[in-house]
Amino acid sequence: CGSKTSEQKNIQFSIPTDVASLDTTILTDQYSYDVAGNVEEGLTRVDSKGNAALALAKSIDVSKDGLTYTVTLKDNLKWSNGDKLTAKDFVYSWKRAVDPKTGSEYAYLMGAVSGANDIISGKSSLDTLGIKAESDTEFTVTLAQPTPYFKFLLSEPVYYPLDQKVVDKYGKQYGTSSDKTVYNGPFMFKSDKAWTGTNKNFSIYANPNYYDKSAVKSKQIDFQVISNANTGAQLYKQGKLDFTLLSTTDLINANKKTEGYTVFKQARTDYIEYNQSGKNASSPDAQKALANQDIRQALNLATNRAEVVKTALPGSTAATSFTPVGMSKTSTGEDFATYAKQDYSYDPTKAKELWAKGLKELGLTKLSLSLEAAGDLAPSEATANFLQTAYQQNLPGLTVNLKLVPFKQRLNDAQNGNFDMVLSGWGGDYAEPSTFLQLFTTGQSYNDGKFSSKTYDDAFKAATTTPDVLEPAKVDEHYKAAEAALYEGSYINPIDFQANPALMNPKITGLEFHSTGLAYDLKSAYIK
Amino acid sequence: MENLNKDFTLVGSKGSDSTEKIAKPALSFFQDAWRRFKKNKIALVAMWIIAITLVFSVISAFVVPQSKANYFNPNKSQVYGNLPPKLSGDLPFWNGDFKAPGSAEKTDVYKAQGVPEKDKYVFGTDKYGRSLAKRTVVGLRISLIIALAAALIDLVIGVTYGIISGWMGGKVDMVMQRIIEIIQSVPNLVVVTMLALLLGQGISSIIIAIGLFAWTGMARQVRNMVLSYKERDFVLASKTLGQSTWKIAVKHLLPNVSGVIVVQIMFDIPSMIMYEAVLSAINLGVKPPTSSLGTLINDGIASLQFYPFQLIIPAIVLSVLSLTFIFFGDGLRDAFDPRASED
Repeated sequence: CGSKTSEQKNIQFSIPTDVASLDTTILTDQYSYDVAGNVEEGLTRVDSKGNAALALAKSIDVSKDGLTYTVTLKDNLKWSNGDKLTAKDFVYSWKRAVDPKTGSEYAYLMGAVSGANDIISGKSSLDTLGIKAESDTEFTVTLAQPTPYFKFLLSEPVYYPLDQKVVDKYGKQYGTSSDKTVYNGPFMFKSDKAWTGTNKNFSIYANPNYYDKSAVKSKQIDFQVISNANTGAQLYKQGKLDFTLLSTTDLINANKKTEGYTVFKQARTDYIEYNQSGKNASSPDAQKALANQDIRQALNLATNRAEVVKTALPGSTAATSFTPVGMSKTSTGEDFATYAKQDYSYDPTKAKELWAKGLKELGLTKLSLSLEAAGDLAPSEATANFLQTAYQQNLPGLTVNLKLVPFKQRLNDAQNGNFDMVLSGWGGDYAEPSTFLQLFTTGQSYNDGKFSSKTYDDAFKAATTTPDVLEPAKVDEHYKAAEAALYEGSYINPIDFQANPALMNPKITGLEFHSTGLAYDLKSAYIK
Repeated sequence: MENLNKDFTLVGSKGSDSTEKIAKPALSFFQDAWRRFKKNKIALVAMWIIAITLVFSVISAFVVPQSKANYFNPNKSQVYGNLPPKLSGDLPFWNGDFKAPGSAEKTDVYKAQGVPEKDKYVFGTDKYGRSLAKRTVVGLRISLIIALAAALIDLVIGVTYGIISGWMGGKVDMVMQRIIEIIQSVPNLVVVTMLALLLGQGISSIIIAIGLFAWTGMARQVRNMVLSYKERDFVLASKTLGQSTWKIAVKHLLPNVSGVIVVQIMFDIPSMIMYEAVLSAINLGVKPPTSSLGTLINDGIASLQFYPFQLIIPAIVLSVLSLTFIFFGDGLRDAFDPRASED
């Protein structure tokens, strides 16, 4: 409950899973990010309009060829322990992130910096990284390729600075509990109600050393880990919680009229991947079938996305491309997903035709395919259950074996290519289509279906390399061509653009939601 | 002496023949048991319920095949999804009126969702629009199949193991009993999980999983009985007459322990039905979309707050089924072993 001594009520915030780490180089999951992003900060911070506004940086100058960034830091920046925050902290942190010994899963985001990819793969030494401290407050960054969205990348945790003294002191223990971490963001942890690494209740407090502390309106924000969404909704109704996510269809439908019902549109797409690697499918027939474009197209056409969304994921919208709506804008200011929209439609008649044609080509009369999904996530379980019956009814001769496994095993199986069809999800890291479209270039590690499309690769390459990379209109065109290639080849089956329905106290002001990166920015949030 | 005899005369003794005569008709063991069983009204009702359920399940296999229970119209899941139970629109209750989640008043959900007038679901539907009545019928059938198959394993392995262990005695008995203790001490959920990984989900792997463990109790019971019976005189007599061990076991021991066996099975069945429900609840049970009572209950838990009927109906069926088996078993125990009961 809120402390009764202070006049202002603390925001009671909830997250559904435990915080895994506060080490900004290591953390990978959304909810660790939601906490860490409020106690740490990078050179930029995404503002309410969705622009990458300057944060720790006083200025960022970009050279004409888009390859050199000169960063000047704000004056008198300090860590929460009183240490000075200097350009060296960035050099140290970035080198730590790309060091293969650190094992940061998000190191690939640093690929934009010159030399990073070679260092990550162990081919060259740390010194070749394109970052150089000119003075305590100034450093230059050299990029491998012109990257128009680099300022967005700078707001990502893996680009945050680190206080070398503290990291060296705790070594592997850094970030495993709040007293083994140092802060530079709007908030910080204290020894009171600290995060021990496992506890379910902890608080963050306004950071007195923060450069923009006048903008921080809350003195204290309390976090609770509530894994059962029903409990969260109950506590919200009793006034003991100001924010809780609604995760099941029933809960969402039941709370649509509750005061404070809000839908946060995430930049997240759920999609089915087809195993086209030529191995590890459930049977040789399944292998052959999934390599057949007619079969894949039939499966795509037999997917009634609108009904799936209504049954399994209320609040979300049916997918019309792989890159979701509400994430990034084209050079003309249009939403990219609207601009790059493809004809992912539901057409059972055409699906049947193509299915029959595909089976004939393969010389089969019936086929069994497995559909794998995470059984511990309610929406994904419901989607899989729905699609199983829908596919079997729409496509004669098809048997769908449902494989509901724990989320972690789903990730594992997808990574190892151990599936026929798998229901996956991808969330954008920064507000630019490449955060999605880079996934399916040939050989990329998240291309679980292991397909290869030259049209797609060419379009993606053209969009991300010189000369076209510097011309926003052409970049949009190429990205659209990549989306078209995905659709034409039926390589994947986008199902929905996910949204997060939640209950949020209407009295909360200043909370900013971002569809990519830090989802809940609490910097200037407070209860009126 | 003479005077004494004058005062007391022996009554009813008319000769040695009459003292040998048995007035009541001779009852076999099972006839006697049935006589005692009939006195227990609850057990009698339970027996009838079990009999009806079994017949119903067998017939239902032809009327409601699995495919019908798994059917829903993917294009109309919003129309048919989450419908409350409705028997007839004219009844004051059970008429499809329901307080939908989020609304304050009861409304006719069937009308609100645009369900055609002729469609009624006696037990309502789940979130996809599958009929809960059909799913419960199939679930009941599957739970019974699992229970009966597991009981058969129980009978074959448990009884054989128990008789051998008890009859042989000595070192063999010692080793066999230690093996049972080892099996009992292994947490069976762990083994079941590994088995599910090995064989995949499905009815057969559940039956095997249950069969692996369930027989130990039976083996213990039978062994204890055999240990005491083999010292009895009638066994000694058959041995002396040169009867083979096999015949002694089948002809003399088995009938004597049959009461215990039947009772033990009746108590094992409900626990097997429950165990199937537990396995289904942790995703180790039957393969979706097949419904068993366990999966229905598990799905119902998620929507308990909003659509309680989705949980209550399969839960009632499961409870009634288990309870009838327990009452039936109780009645049988009293009937077979009058000394154990009060009367």
